[in-house]
Amino acid sequence: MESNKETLQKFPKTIRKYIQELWLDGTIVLSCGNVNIYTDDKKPIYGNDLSQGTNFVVCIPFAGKILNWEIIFNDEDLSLAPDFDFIDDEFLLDPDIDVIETDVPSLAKWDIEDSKGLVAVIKEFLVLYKKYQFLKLQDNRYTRQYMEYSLLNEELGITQDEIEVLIDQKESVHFLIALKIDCSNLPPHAQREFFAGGKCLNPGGDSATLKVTYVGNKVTTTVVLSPRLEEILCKTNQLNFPPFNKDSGLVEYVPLVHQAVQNRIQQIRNHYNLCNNFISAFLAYQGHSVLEYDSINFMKISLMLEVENAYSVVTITLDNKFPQSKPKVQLLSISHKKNDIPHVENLAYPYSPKWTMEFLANKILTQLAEAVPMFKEDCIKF
Amino acid sequence: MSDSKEENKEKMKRANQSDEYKVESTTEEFDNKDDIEQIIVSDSDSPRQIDSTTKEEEPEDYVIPKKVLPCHNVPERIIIVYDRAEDEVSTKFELGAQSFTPADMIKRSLEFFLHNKSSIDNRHQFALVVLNENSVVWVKDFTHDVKSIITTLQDTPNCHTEDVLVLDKLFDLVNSKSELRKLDTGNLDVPPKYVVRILFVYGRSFTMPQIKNQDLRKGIVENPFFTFDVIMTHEKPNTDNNAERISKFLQNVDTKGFAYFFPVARNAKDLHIAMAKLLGHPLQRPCQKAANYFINT
Repeated sequence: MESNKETLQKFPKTIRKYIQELWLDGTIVLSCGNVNIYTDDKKPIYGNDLSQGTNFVVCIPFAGKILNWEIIFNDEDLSLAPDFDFIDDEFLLDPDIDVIETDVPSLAKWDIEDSKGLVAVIKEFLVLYKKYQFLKLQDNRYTRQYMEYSLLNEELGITQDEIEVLIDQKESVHFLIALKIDCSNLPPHAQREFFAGGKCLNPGGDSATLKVTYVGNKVTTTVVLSPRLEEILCKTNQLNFPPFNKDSGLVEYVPLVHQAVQNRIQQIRNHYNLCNNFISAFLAYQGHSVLEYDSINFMKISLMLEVENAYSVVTITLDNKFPQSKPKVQLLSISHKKNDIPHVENLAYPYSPKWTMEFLANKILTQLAEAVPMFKEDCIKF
Repeated sequence: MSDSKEENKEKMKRANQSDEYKVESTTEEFDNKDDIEQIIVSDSDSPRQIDSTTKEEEPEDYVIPKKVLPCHNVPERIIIVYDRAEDEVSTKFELGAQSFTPADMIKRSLEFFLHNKSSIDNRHQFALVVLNENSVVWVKDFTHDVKSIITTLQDTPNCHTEDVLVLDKLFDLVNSKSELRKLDTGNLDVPPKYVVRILFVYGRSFTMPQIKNQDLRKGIVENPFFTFDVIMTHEKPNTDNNAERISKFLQNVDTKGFAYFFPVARNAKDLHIAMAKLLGHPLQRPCQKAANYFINT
């Protein structure tokens, strides 16, 4: 897979800006993945200058499939509007000049200065494309799917912008429905890998979509999450969705799936808040003796404690199942070894998941007040 | 003599009463010996001078510097500066029934530092610099591998001392090896990718450290993401040795007020306690003056 930089170098400067805007705009399609460029390296390029390519294929993820539209610039005059080839599709096979004038104004009045010109043209074409597919849907063969579509529109208020429909050559119907997820409650999270192989792994914002495929009588549904969202929501365990019920249809299924994602977001928020409260309680009691604490996820804190002339480093760790699981409290010796490393002991203490964080912190500290001197004695014994 | 002893005891009592500044009188140093005026009249934590002539500062006068950096536990790059010189005449450390040379004791306490720091967060990296008779040498690049540093430390032999030790090379090394310069100090709201800390361990009581290029030192020490922590072990301060002057010098290397300074005499426990306190992350640990390790319930 070549990096974005390598791709850009194949084109003259005038064209590069159009391609860059294509990559930067996250609102072209509903899909979490973004629009991409494909160049056929085997096509002959006049002259030996490899950076003078003038055509490329735009790969547009649509309704769970990929549309391949070829953009052909005039290599003698780059300022002219490009030509379009909707490969293997009957879409706009023989377009009327009027259609272009009214529905694709950015192409009719091509502005060489506007770097977002190409993106605008593609968006306008996509509107036409959606209408074209919607027309196909009205055929007798797809009454069921048409009904599902209408119900989604009438009962759930899902507009044409929020759903992509595609009927492919094998007569399977594909839907891609945007699930309007509210991610504002998600705690701050940094994606583990933002860039890989020269490409951005999370180009759009946080989003979720429902992919539905009808092949004959069989229906398959998949929920697709944007990469960062998937990482956060599926950190602990896979997100399970209820199975699709053919009889109740999409109009009942979409809200179910939506709720499942929102519930998981809330779960994660609650866990984060709890961990935050726990660490904050410790900082309130022992901020003056803190060594280090996890300031992003609030899952760990290390303190130095002194009790009756006995000293110990104490590390408290939380895990993903907290408060169901008990926090781990470890004492580390500062002056005695066991098996060549500093002596370590786990603290035993009473615990209930129902306690408030202040109460729990207090309990642990009270227990430590007894444990630290005893730990010193244990260390000396070894 | 006895008047100032009374004075000092009064001050200790007063200091004990103030909340912010709790005096720990746990070490053997504070037996009622005559040398109490010469040694710091408080625990080994406070960055005070070992000077028999200066007056005791009132705890209330001390201003705790305000932290402006985000309290994030970013990974640390800790440069351990180990002093391998041993004074011709040096007292040993006593630990239980055994006695240790200062070098051995320091190596042992550094082992604990390395192991514990790494188990608190294994993203921290450590490098090793050694102080020779009259030179500063970079020995080990930054690594997560604590054991390799420990082995190198254990294999480092002692050396003699000279009158003066010039430390300028140390700051050159910080510039060239630690990538401190790469950190963006323009926007202090954004946590840096890492912070750089020097853990300066000094064992000489007679050799005076010197820094000739003050601009170089300033440039590094004033960097918000750099900390110059010091732990020095010394003979009992008296007119024969330079312990007081060395302590004054080393305390003044740092100018921001967030660095830790620990002067430790030949008390093994104090040394290990100081090493443990140095585990604190520069962006999150309390100021040395404000630190208090008692349990608050």
